[in-house]
Amino acid sequence: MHTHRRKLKLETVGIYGISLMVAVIVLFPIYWMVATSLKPRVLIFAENPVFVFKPTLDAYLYLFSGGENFGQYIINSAIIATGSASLSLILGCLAGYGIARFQFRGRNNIAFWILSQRMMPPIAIAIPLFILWGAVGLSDTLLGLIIAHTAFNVPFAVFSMGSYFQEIPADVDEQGMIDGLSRLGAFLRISFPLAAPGVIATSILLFILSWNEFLLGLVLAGMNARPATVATTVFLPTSARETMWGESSASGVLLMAPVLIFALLLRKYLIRGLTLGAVRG
Amino acid sequence: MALNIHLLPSEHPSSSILFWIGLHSYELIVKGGFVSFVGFGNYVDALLSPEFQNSGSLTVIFICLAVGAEFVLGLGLALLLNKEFRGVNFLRAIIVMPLCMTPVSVGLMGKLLFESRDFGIVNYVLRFFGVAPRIWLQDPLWSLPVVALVDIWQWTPFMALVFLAGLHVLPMEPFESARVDGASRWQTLRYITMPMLRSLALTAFLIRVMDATKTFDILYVMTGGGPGNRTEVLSLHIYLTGFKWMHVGYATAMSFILLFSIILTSLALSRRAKI
Repeated sequence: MHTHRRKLKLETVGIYGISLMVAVIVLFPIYWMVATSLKPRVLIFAENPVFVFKPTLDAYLYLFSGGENFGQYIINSAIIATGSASLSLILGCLAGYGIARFQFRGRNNIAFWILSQRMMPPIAIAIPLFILWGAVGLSDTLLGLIIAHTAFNVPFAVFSMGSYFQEIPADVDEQGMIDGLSRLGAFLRISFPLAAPGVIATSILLFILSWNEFLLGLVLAGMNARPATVATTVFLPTSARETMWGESSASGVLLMAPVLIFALLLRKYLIRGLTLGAVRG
Repeated sequence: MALNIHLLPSEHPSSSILFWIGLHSYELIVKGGFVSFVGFGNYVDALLSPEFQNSGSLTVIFICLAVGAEFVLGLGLALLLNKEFRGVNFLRAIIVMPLCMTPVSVGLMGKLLFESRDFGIVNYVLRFFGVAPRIWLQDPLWSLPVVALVDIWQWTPFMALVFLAGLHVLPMEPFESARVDGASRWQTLRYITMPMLRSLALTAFLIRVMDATKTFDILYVMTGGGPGNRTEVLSLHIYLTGFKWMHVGYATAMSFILLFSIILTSLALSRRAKI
């Protein structure tokens, strides 16, 4: 009995020890980047890491008023993410509803479709898109990036919304149609409001996907439509100077802040989407 | 789920354009582009080129390091988070953070932690344990594993969440009878938990392999392919060939080969997963 208790105690210690380690590994790098973005320049290069300092907003001020027009890039990113999330959501809701409610040939391959979308490396599509966008005048436009992101994110939207609509019994739509609604009316007035939590989770994930996207922005955007993810790379080292650590950290923090807020506030709703394709909803 | 090859050129217009450009010599350096038909020349050149082969093997090494570790650590983390103890909800909440974070930010963060010899926090901690400081990201041997480590930081939570979802829906009876029969924890894990999670594990593995093949952002930010081309994985190699050196036709041929190998790998893996 005594050894059993000691074993239990040891286990508790082990669990808390490992948990603490996990928490430190997850949180410390994020903390360190935030701290670096707030440090005076001299302290960033201190040989022994400085943990206590008087925070300064110099790096952030530089982003917005100094050399870089970072505010505009953030706005670009927000427009692109909002635009492509809305477009993907509309297409995803309609197609997802169709998949959930109707039987048709090829319906069962949809689950594979999301996997096939994951297979396509963006770099492979970037080159044809670059040539096409140049030919139709979409290169370096916000619209061009909205369309490109939508093309990549629609399969996720379809799959995600399809899984939410499948959870709503088809009877409720049919009841509405008996009461005189058209199919579209039943979708808009009955199923869509019932799927509201799914709509919110899906649209936030679509926003995050587009906000985080880097490669297509790098290839398809020049100065006009440059998203913030691409703009952060100007602080990387060049032949003339070293990395601008404070500024690069500040831009990294600005990029991840909205996403992390979403992640923490709406975690329960987002996890389903994050593991979509692996875990059957 | 029936599994067919859906990415044949005839079914996906974008990939057939890709294939078609790959058959051409397409140089963007000339204004308007210089295009001439070279047949399979680009494909042959790519397969024979030492740079392409180097990038290919780096990609495979990167995937093995990153996804292998994510798999093992993710399973461990899921088993931990599946217990009930004080603070577990806090842990469940924070592991979602890396998963959502902008990969470019994650790359900048990794660069900050690892890059410099003089002020990097990682070197500072390692010096504590008597390890000589080094410039990790410019080290021919260590740069790729360090980038893989950053990928592991970001994506282990994915594996953990998938396994956690799987553990939640497992039936209780086999575990109870195992305990009655006096099975050790390792035996329970090895002979009961793992077999029941098999299909889920393979799917998660497949998804991560496909995603890791496409890794671009953190490498672009952290190393840019260097030192030399020691971290120039395929996606980066294709990007540099197409958009820095402007050999669009050649780059496209390489991306077609990349796409094709991803499809073959996924088919092989998903056959095993029986999905």
